[in-house]
Amino acid sequence: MQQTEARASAGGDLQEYHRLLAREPDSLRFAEYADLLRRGGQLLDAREVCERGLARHPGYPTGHVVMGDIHNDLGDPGKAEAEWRHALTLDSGHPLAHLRLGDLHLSRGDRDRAVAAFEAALIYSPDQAEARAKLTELRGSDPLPDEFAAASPEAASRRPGERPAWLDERRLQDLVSRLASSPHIEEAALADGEGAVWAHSSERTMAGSTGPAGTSFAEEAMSLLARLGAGRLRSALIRSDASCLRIVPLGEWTLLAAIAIEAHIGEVDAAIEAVLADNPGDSAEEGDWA
Amino acid sequence: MIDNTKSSDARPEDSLASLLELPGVLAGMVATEEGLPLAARLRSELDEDALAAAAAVLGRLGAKALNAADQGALGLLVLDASKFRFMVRPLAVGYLMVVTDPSTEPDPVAEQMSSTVMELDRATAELVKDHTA
Repeated sequence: MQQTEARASAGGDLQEYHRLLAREPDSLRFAEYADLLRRGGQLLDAREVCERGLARHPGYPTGHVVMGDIHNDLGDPGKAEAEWRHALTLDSGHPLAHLRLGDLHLSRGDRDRAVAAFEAALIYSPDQAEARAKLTELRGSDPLPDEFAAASPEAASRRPGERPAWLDERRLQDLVSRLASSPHIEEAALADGEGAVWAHSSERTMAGSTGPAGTSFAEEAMSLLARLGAGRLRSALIRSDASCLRIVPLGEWTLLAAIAIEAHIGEVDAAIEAVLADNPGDSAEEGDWA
Repeated sequence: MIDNTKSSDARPEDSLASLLELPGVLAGMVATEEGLPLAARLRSELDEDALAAAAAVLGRLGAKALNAADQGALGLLVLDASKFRFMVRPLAVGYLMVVTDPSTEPDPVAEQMSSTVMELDRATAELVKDHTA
């Protein structure tokens, strides 16, 4: 049954999505389901599914991108723009939100803002082929600047601060388990935008207040960096004489890792980056994340 | 700025100078808990007041996160951003913050910051002792 659902999620069987969400109403897969309904032209159903999902997960940026797409297809670009912009307040590097805004600017004849939006999509996701193609077309004979040179998906996934392309909801537990098996990492957890811990390697400290505390820290640190013009938050380390906590924003997720107090920061980062860059493929067991 | 020339030859700026000798270090800053600059060595065009305020905010954020998780008092905070790395250690008078290039090896800087904190706290203690004598 579980294998059937895994195939269904890849293949986009609406009924399987419906059953999955009926059984697990808190699943983030509402966004995939709503998007599938939208693509099939069932716009009102799509809107209802997305509204219900966002009521449970208001901090899920991809949900807002899909809601923007639905509004756009319903002929309300104003509401669509508001949703896409809201997605960027939750994840300033969400490439699809930048891409959608680029398309919107283009439809309004605002070439400069469209170029800026497509460039932003590429900065945050160099493997965003659609943004690359549109940017190339807009620039005409002008070559793309070096910073937008094509990068492999592997290279993109090595940049801390972003969600690796392979990390979906099924693989959250797999990620924290593999991190916790690294020599310098004692515990690991993944929290959502509201600090709720979705996967953790141990109940010892990670299941308590560490999730909300780490997520709140990341949000406030991002805000400070924006005010300083210091760029995006890639990671943070907070050390006391009793513990050491590494915080890594991964798109809509925040990775929290308790690390050995004597560990060298560089070694810990290398271990985290190695796990993030290592796509486990289809080895993750369905149901790990539930 | 702290004027501790009466009690010690080492001024805060001198302590910061040893940090600036490390490769990749762009700025060293001593700030009060309220975010006011006490001493600064800036290699680039970074804004001294903004950095001092940031040092205090980061120090408070780190302490708050540790406190919420019941994990003890702040020893070191490292914030890696795409353009800079910020490293903050608490001092008796506030915070020591170092700004580096993001590609700089952090461990040598963290070690040098430990020495600098000890120097600065010692100088502060002497200053207080002289003042109260």
